[in-house]
Amino acid sequence: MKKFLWIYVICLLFILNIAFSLFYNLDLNLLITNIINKNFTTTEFKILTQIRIPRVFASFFVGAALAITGCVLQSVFLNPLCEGYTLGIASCAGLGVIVGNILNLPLNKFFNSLLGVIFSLGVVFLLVLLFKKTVDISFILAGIVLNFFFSGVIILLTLFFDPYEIHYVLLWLLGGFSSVDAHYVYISCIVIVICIVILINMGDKFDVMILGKEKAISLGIKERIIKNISILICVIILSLCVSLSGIISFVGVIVPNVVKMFTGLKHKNWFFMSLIFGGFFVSLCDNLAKNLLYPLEIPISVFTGIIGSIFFLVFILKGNLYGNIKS
Amino acid sequence: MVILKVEELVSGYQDIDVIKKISFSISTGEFVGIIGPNASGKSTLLKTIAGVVKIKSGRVLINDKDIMDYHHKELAKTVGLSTNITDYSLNFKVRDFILLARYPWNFSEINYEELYEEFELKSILKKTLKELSSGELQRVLIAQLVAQTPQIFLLDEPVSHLDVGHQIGILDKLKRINLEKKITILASFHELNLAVEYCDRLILLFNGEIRKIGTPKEVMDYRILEEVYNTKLIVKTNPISEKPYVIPVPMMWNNF
Repeated sequence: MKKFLWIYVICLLFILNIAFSLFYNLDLNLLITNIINKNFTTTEFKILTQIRIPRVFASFFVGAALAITGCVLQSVFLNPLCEGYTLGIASCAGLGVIVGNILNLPLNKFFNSLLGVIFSLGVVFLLVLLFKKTVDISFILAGIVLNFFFSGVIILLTLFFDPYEIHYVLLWLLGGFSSVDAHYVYISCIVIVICIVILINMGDKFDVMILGKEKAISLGIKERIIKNISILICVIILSLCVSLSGIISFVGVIVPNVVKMFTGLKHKNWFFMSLIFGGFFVSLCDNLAKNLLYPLEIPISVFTGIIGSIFFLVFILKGNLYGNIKS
Repeated sequence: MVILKVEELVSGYQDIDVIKKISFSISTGEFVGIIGPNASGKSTLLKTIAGVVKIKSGRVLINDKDIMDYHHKELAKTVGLSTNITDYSLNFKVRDFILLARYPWNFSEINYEELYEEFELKSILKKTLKELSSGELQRVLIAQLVAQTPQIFLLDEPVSHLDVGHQIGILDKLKRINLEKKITILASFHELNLAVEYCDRLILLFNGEIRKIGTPKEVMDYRILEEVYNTKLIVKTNPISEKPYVIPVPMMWNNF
C-alpha cells in the first residue's frame, strides 16, 4: 500500500509541475474564453502553443531520453557510472553543433546538430573498432578522455565567437530549453519515442547480457550486434538531445541508479520507470530554472547537478547502491 | 550414440592457440571430466564447444551437425554453459536469475516448482544473489542450467571454492540429473579425486593437447600424472568405490 502511495504522490507532483509550467503567469480566464470563441490568434494562446507546450515536451522527452540512454549504456558496459556525458558522446555532439556555428554553415540548427550526430557517431564507432578486443573498461576510460578532450576543444572554440554571441553559446553549453523551436521539438520527440520503443523491446536481451559476455553468447544472444545497435541508438538519441537543449549532465547517472533500487534489474521495468522519472526530473528542473529567479533564467545543469547530487548522496548513504561493486 | 564430436579442433584468443588439434567424442548420457593443470585449456575447450570462443580450424559436431551451422538460439537449446557470475548480475533476485535461462525458449514455461524443490531454493527465491553463500550460489547456477534444458551441460569447475560437503552435494545432484534425465555432462575439475569418483571417463589435458583419455583407472597412472602436474603423487584405490585416488607428496618428503 505504501508503494502505491508513493506513485500517487509522484503523479500528483508531476501533473502540478506540468500545469504550473504550462499556465504560470497566463490569464486563464482569457485563455478559456479565447478557446471557446475559437479565437486562436491572441498572444496568450500563442504563448501557450508555441512556447510553453513545446518546452514541456522538450524537457520531458530530453529527460526521458537521457535517463534511458544512461540505463542502456550502463548495461552495455556493465558499469553504473556510464552515461552519454561521462562517455563523451554529449561533448562530441556539442562540438559538432559549435563547429557548425563557427564555420557558418548555410544550414539551420537541425542540420548543424545532425553534423554533431554524424561526427560523434564516427568517433564512437572508430573507438569501438579500435577497442574491438575489449569493449569494457578501456572504452569507458577512452570515453572519459574524449569528454575532457572535446570539452577543452569546445572552450577553445568559444574564443572565436564575438563577445555578444559567447553568452548564448555558454548558456547553451550549460543546457536549457529557452530557445527551442516548436517544429524541431516535435520531430525530435517522434524520433526519440521510436528509439525508446526499440530499446524497451530489447529489454529481455539486456537482462541476459548482464550475465556476462560468455553466458549471454551461450544463451543465444548475438552480443556484439546488440551492443553495437544499442550504442548506435543511444548516440542518435543523445545527439538529438544535445541539439535540443545543450549538454545536461548527471541525469543519465542519477535517475537510472535511483530507479534501479526500486525496480531491481528487470530491464523492461527499469527502462520504463527510468524514462518516466527522468522526464519528470528534467521538466521539474526546467520549471525551477525558468521561474525561480524570474525573469533571470538559470542554466538547467545547475539544478540537475545540485538536486541530483544531494539525492544521490542520500541514496548512497541510505541504500546499498554500490554494494554490487564491492562484493 | 555419439552426441558430441570434436575433430582436430584448434581454438584460442587473438594470436595464441590454447587448444591445439584435439579430437574426441562423447556419447549420449556420459559424464566426462576434463582434468589438467592450470592453463592447460580446460575452460577454453568448454567455451569453444559452447560457441563462445572462436574455432580457428577443425570442427565441433553436436548431433552430427557443425555448431557453426546452428542458429544461435538453437545451439543454446542444445548446449548449456555455466560460467562465473559477473559482479553486475549479483543484484538479480534468484527467481529472475533462473528465469533468464529460458531466453532461448522465448521464456516458455517449465515446471519451476519441481526445479526449486530439487535444488532446495524455495527459501532463497526472493533473495538477491549477493546475499547468498557460495554453496547456495553454486546451486542456483546449476538450477539455471537445468532451467535452460539443454542436452549437454558444460560445467567449468562446478565445485571449486566449496567445502567437501557442498562439493559432494552439488556433484550428487549433477550425477542424478545425468542418470535420470540422460543429460550428457562435460565438466572441468581441479580436484582429481572428485573427478575420478563421479566421471565415466576422463580427459587429461596438458598444454592444449590431450595427454590421455579413458576411464579413471586408465588416466590415473601416476607416471603420467607426475609428469603433467610436475609433482610426486601416490595413486591408491578407494576401498568402497574401488576407484583410484591421488595423494600428493610434498617436496620435503622426496628424499625418503
